[in-house]
Amino acid sequence: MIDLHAQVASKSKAPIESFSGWPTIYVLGLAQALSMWGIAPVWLVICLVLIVVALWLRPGGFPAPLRFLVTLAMVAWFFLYYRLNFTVEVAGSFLWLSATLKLLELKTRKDLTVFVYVMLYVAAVSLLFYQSIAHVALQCVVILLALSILLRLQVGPSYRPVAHFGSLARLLVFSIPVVVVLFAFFPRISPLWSMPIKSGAASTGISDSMSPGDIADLANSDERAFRASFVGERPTRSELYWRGLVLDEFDGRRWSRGAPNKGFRYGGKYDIGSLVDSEGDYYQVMLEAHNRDWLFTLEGSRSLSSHIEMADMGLYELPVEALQATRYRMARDRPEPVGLQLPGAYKLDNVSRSKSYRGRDLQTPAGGNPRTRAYMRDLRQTMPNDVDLVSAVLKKFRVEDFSYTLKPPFLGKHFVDEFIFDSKQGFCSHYAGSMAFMLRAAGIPARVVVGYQGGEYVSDGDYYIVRQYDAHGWVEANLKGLGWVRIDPTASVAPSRVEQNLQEAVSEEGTFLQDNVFASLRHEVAFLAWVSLKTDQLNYQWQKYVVNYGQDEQYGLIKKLLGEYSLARVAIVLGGLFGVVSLLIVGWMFWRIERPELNVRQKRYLRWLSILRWFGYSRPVGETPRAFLARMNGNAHPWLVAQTDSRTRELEQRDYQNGDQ
Amino acid sequence: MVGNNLRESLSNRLSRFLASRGARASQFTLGQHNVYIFPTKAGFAFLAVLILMLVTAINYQSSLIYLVVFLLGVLFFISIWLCFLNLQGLEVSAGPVSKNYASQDGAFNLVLRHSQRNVYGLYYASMLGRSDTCSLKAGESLSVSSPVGRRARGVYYLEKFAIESAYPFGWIRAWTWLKVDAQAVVYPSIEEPPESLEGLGGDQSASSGVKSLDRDTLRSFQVGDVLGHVHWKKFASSEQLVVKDSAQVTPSVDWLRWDSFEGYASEMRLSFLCAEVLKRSEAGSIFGLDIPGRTISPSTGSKHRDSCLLELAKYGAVGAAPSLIYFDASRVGAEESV
Repeated sequence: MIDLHAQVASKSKAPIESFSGWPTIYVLGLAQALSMWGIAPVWLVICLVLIVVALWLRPGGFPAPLRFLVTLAMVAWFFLYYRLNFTVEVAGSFLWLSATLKLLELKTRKDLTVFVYVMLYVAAVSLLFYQSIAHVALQCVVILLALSILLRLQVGPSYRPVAHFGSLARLLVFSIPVVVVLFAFFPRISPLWSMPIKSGAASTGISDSMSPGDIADLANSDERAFRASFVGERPTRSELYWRGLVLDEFDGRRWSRGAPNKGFRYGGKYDIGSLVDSEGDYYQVMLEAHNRDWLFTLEGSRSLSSHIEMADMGLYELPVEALQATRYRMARDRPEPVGLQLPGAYKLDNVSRSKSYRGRDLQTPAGGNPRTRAYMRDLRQTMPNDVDLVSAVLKKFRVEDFSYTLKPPFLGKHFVDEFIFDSKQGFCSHYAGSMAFMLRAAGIPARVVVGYQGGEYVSDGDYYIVRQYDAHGWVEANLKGLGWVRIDPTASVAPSRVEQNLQEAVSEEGTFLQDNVFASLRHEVAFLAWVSLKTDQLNYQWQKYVVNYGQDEQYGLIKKLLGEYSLARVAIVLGGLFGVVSLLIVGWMFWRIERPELNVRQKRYLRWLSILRWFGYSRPVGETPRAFLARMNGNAHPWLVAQTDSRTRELEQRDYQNGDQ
Repeated sequence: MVGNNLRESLSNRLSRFLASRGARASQFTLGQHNVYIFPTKAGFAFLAVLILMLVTAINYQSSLIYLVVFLLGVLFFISIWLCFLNLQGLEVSAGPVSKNYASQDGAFNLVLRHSQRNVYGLYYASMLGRSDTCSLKAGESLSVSSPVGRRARGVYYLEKFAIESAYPFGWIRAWTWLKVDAQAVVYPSIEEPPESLEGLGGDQSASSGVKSLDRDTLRSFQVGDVLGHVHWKKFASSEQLVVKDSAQVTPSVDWLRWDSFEGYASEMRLSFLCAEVLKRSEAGSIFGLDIPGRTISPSTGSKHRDSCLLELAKYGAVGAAPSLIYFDASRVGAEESV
């Protein structure tokens, strides 16, 4: 026995020269490269693709010195690139790199097994970065390829790619029900520890500073920023002001965020958190990974999620950057309109900041924009009332020939002056930035808020898609007698931007998605628009029910199905599942063992017998087909007899003549 | 030292226990009663990867990684059954007894067959070696042989024959040890006796060699005639079985005797006798064998030749038998007609 084990151990060191599945290995390498695109750095992906292709074209492999050189160069480059950063991205990329380099000298079965296992783990890790259906489908292919390599290693030369791949796919499909039950009931545990996922990923969407023209750049992208669904009353479009960030520091040209109040990054775990059910109306947001820690919430929102934190000025933040799609739930009190006093303005609660920072909302740069300062000083003298002053500024925008454009002219040093008095053409960032400065110059606390405005309503799925081109900036000001109000100067200039959407607002100009051919195609060709909307819907459901299935959802589901959540009940379900599956397998096994393999003729004959049973003729056990036929002959309908006769003859002739069972 | 002794005695006990399990038979069908199953090293490594994935899923609350873990876990579980089912129903039977001379490589012959299903990724092994993977089509027989190597003359039995498979993914290994009644007989090597000893004290002068046809008379075939004497050409043309009858109508009887090679070592004598048996049986003459402890009365034909050679092979128990293969003279006597 001991000796036999020694031989088993040596089996794994057996050379794999006879292994014929090399193309599968290379396809697996390439598929993995595709899935690492966007996770690992571009140079790494390109290099590894080149290595795999080179190996494929040169079956003999590389000579030893070259092999050594390539390995050394890749590893050195890797460490120079990442230095000693330790994130999941680095770890995943390094695993992938080393597995692919392993291909350079794949000698034994053990080598190949290690390669496959690492590839499986890398496939799992890549799901931390992308969760779309398409990416998951790609990972399914990777897993299928990996398993087929293992299978081929066992089956050896008699491996038939199509047949075995088919049976593998069938195996996966059959295991899906069990996987689904496990997925639903396997106890979810809170994270034990987390190391950061990404190192220095490029962020998308709005940033924490705004110079004139910044948001206009986003207007060229139709990428999704987030989706939101509402429980209860659906808000009107013009109510959808998604606050993201407050920009309160102005340097004469650029608005930026003063030092954020929260200092810690990478401090928390990657917790998808729990959502609290609410009696009243609430909404749920599925935020795309934008690699920042801020969230977008409507005015007057209260958090119903355990994993998000309230920051200053009524804003909300995540403990770590949103590197994966993240969902959160908020309750909402609708802001009240100020009314006739100041049309279009809304009163905001809970947006004031802590006292010691209040001076920030009046900060202006030491010099610059003299014309605006003088103008506001004059205006202030005639209008001591804040509301009147704001109305006057809005009226100026409305009455004078200000226009809303995605292609504003370039403005120089005194950006506000040039905009207000000369060019008068601008995008929301021009209007919001200028107005906030104007109010501050008149002594009214004011700030720029950036986020998104609006969203596309998907009636089939009852949710909103908010895209990058919905990015928007507006003003919040603290008016005497009213408190903080939201004022959107853009709405005075281009009401259609708020009431309809950007496309309408710039329809005359025709600049909507002008620089983005694919995006504009998606919007203008009806079929493509339909497909992209349907795909989005599917992905949304996927994210909602699968990707974001967590402790809460499990709790809810178990409570609904089992009456109450308890580990004992979950254990019973899982134990029951185990038992049922085992029984099914055993049953199937015995069914397979006990049942003789029948050939086509025999099966056809037996089928015919079961039809005859409907007519009341049955063949008792022990009666030969021929005797049965003879008995039929006397008392059955001639057609039945003829059919029976032909089948009997077929059965006998073929079986006994050829003997090919 | 103590540890080594302990281990040795344990492994001895284990092998004795295993040797006592299961009866020797010429045919086995694999099933629950004789197939063992356990994860391989690669299987444990795979489980380790799964646990790593599970920890990743927990730490990053990643539902999709949970999904992958469950999918692969279920596959691992199913592969236990698939691995067993792959071997289940496989029939293993002893093939024809291999007959070799001491200077040649011998082998045990076995036949593998599954009447219903294809069997994949089989390895079979004895203590003397391991095969490459092979697969078996449903209903087809696969003849396999396990090498004996060059061995001293004797009758060898395959003590244990292992069949194993790690199908489908190499995570689980199912194996069986069978005491298949496969035999390999190794005859003494052939040595031509020296010229001076030709005719060795038989009752008759050397009468071997077929006489030329013109001196032979032809008579019709009688039961008992040596097939080698049938005039096949005649049979082909006339479909009449006629026998070439040499000058002596009743061929004289040769006795191959141990004592004829006085002064030679016993192995040498056996080799000489072996050569003589072959020569005589080729010639179709009638001969008997007389060695110490065993006498075979004169006869002719291939069956007679084999039993004579078998006696020569069995003469005395020589050489220590390797553990897998063992020399069993008592059993041979009972199955002389093999």
